[in-house]
Amino acid sequence: MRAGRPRLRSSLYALTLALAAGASTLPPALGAGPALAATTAPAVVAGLFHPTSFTLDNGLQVVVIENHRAPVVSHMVWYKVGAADDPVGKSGLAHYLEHLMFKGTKDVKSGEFSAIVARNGGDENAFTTEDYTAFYQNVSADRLALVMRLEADRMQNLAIPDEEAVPELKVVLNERRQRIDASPGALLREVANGTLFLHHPYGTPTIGWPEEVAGLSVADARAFYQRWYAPNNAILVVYGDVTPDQVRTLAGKYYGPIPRRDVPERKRLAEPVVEAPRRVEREDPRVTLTSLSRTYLAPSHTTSPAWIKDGVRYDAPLQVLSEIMGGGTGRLYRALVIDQHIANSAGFYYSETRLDLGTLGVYVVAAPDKDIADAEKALDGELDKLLKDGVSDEEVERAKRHLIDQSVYAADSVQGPAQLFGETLASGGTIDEVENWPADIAAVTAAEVNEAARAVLDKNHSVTAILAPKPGAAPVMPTAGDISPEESLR
Amino acid sequence: MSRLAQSLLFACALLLLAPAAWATEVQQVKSPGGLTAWLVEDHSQPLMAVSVAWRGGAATDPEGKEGLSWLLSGLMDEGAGDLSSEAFQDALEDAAVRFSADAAEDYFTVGFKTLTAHRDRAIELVHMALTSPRFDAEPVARIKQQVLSGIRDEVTDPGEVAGRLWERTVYGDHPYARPLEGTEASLTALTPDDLRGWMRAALTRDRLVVGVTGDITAAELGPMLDRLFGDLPEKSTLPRVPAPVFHGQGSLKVAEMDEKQTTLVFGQPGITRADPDFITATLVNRILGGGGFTSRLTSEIREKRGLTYGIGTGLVPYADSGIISGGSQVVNAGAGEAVKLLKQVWQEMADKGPTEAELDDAKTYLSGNFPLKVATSGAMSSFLVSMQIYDLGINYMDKRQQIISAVTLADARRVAKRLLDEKSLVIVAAGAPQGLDDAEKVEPQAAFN
Repeated sequence: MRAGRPRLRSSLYALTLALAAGASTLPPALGAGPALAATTAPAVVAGLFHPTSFTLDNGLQVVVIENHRAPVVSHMVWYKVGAADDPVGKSGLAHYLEHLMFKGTKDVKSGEFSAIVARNGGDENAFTTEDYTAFYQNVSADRLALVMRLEADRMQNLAIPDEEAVPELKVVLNERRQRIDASPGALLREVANGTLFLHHPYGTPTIGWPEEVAGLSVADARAFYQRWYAPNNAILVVYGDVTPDQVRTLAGKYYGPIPRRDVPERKRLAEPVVEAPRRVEREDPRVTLTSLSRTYLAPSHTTSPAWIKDGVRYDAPLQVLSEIMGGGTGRLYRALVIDQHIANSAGFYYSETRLDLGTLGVYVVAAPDKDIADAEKALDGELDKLLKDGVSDEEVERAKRHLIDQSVYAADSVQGPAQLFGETLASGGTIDEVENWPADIAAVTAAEVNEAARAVLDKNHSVTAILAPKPGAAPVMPTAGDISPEESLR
Repeated sequence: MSRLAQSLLFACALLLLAPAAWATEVQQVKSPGGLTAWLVEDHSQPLMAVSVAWRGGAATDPEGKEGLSWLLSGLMDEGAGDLSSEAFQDALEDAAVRFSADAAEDYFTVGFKTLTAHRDRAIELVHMALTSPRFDAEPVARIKQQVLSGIRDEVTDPGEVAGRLWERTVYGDHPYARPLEGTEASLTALTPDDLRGWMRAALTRDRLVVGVTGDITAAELGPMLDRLFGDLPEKSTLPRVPAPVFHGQGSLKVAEMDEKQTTLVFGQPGITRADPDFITATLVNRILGGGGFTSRLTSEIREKRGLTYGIGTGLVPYADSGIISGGSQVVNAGAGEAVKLLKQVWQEMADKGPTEAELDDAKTYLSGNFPLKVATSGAMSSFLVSMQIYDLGINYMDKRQQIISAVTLADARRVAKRLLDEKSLVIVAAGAPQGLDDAEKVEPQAAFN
């Protein structure tokens, strides 16, 4: 752990950092919030990135974002299928297929994809979340045609040799041990998540339950590929030193000939409305400080929980709320860490880029000599104060200014904007959402923030998870190591 | 051969013939007060990144005051001048300044990004942080506690256990063997006077290295340098840290921990950044283990056998020395096999070097990847600092391509032999490994005592 304050999590910058650091399940993007009924004209620049978008005859949606400051491009293909679409009993299949996408086609033998990209100076990888599976290559602008050809090839010609698939399943099980088993927090998050989502597949881990992952077969992966990997179920995003006309020509040439296929509608089980605060606890000898995190079901950028009245959008107000409450200058850190000395850290975050429900979370790590029960009381005290007194106009104006100022940094990135459009579109959103984001944020009022907070911060729709040291146990077990090589996204 | 495969091969050959031509002009800027910075102007976006390094880092922390520079790095944005910790944080946020500070063994670094609209305020705030930090009781106690909690957590982290044991084995009583963040005892005893004293001794004008990229001209940057750094003390009084003597070569240690995977940390002495063979060694390292999905170690240990999710190696240059080291988390039952493969692949590279094809691929990667490596303002400004610290010359970005192209197979073989020796490897395994029965058993606690 580094000295200093926890940095804001809900920024584009954090997003690109996480990407660079090799997160497999990415944190939520800075919000792509659908428009509120905007009555005030905000004094902000219209549009963030000014993308060009078109759709090929086979249904492949293409988004081009120009940025000519360096001679590089980020080329990303996003499939609108993720872990929440895994067949029942085969959790982890979407992620396993992502790994197998590097095992060759009729023309490109296993491992060659990566070798060709590397030999051309490129960086490449892939990642899977609940809602999408994405593949990317960052290359010199003059290598765009090459990576398009490769990516289009594996969109239709994937070959999965059995002798490659078997060791890769072991790799995935090792990935699970490294990401989940080695981290007490990750183990508890799995349980908390399954408790918050009682029925919806968001309650199942993206990487899968190990018992089920061990049983995945090549046939399962092939069937999943056939079912979902079609041009009309994908989004191509190209960002960087390129023009829309160039992309139109190249995409037509390489992706254009791939035939459209029928793809099933993504229908997940609906989460039933249950009114019960849930609580899970775990003791672990690797833990030294007790921590508590509470996660609430919340609206996403596309979907609201049943108990929130139809047609009301809370995602922009919740982003402003998160800016007020979270981060090193937020209310929670100031109250619990600086003023009351009851916590080592505290935070507040909102995850809205999801096809189905989003989540809103708070957490507190108790200071070494403090009781977690007291830390929870202090946390609840701050939340009660928020619900009772609300946020002020000044706080809202300041938070809005910070969010919009920070968005200027978004284009100072090799991949950030491509990531933002890809994840927004692949989880049911629109280009306008991203482009209207500054205006939507600028239009948020304190009344809207307070209304959103009161609608969402209801313990009846939450799970509280407590991670505590195991009393009396010798602290000899590890947490996630620091030395994992950085090139281990897939 | 299919048409696709053919055309792909052709595309690969292209890069060798026509390296991407990308001219980046680096300007040396002299301030009226005599300070120097290297600048790459880029007016495409209304923002700027500034990277700063001072020669001399945590290795100079006085004995008994280990963790001093690390603690300082956590406290630099916690109040300065007439601004309390909270007021200072608010001021940074209001001006959208992204500030960071970090302590490494041989360097102390500060970086910030600012929007053009807030540039003056950003400079004012960073100047305050550098010249009039407050070190009030509350933030000092709070940040100390956060560092202490981190130290306590490390005891149960196999990556920390293995890494610390490796450093202790290799560096013995050299300062590089000490933890950057100090120990509970040393950290607890540190005072604001210690922090101020180290700042005066270390953050001086004679040790300053600055790189700037973004929406600023050379004419604007000169006076800005004086505003930022002109009030710093002129000369450093830090002691010189001698180059380390390497110990323990050939040792294999196991720290038993109740865990589903075994964390491996391994490495041997390497070369300095100033060594004329450094680029060739970088190519050899890429082929051995630094090449992501295409390296020999990844191929043998991950792709063919599924023993790990990842394995990687890197050249780590220190001020007057260097190591080549790596890490992996392997399945317990396969730990013995993984270590055997590691040694085998290591020695095979030492004995025979890379193949022509491997070397060609590594060369085109290293050349072609460069624009991506410096594509963001922060990456570019920090590269400008590295160029100065390692004395690579102001036209290094132009020369780099030729240096890489000039490396021959004979060079690579010679450097592989010079650099690598399986018998010099120090390997530490933390976890419940099987198949490492001949290893020396050590207590995980020994990493921290």
